[in-house]
Amino acid sequence: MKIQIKKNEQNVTVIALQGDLDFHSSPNLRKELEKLIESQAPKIMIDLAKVEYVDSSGLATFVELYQKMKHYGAKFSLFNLSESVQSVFEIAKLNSIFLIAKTEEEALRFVS
Amino acid sequence: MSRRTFLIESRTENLEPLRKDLAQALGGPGLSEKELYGILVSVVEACTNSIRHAYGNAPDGKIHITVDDRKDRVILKIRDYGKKIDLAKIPSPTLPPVNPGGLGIYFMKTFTDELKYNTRHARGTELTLVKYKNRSPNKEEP
Repeated sequence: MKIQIKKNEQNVTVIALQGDLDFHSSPNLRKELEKLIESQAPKIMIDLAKVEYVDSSGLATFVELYQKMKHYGAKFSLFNLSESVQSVFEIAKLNSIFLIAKTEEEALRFVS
Repeated sequence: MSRRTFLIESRTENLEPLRKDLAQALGGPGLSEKELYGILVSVVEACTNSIRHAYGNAPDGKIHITVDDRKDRVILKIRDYGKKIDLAKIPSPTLPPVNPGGLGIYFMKTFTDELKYNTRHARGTELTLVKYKNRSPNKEEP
């Protein structure tokens, strides 16, 4: 999985992912997210436009991120999910606690 | 009707190529894009369980995946030869999950219509998943 991290002018960390998010790739993503959590990044947005597959291992990574960011009062949002990828979040009922946006602009509003 | 068998070793880097091969094998009529995705999630979750729990992340275990694509249903068998999975020890997840993990079997139950474990083999576990074609959208609860 390719992980591209940049920070925009509003001090929001935007992470663009590319590839499958499964049991193989999730440890790498978790490692990158850990660094951001250690630096107490206040706002994170994750772009899933180029992710065509997410399973329970991928969701577990986001649950961990959610719990840790909640602990220090920060926010993260996911955006650009395909219908299929969105379905795993819905089945796990994570759409009720995660900030899931359709577009980058909406995600920015969610974390602002 | 078509029947295909895939064999992978218990290494996590084999999951993505397997998913792609399965998508190609199951790309025919009768399954919506979402249903096909659900099947792929279910098989990869099953293989992930075999890698993690049956083989304890050892990379040289064998996993056979059989895809029986019939007119009215798809029957998938995932067979490993490692430690048997004790279903009684796997708790149902709370939803939404408050802790990471525990969703794999829940996804398999939700995305498919039938799930059966056979632990009567001398070694390992055989999981059978059935998904019927041309049916209503996925159920919300297992």
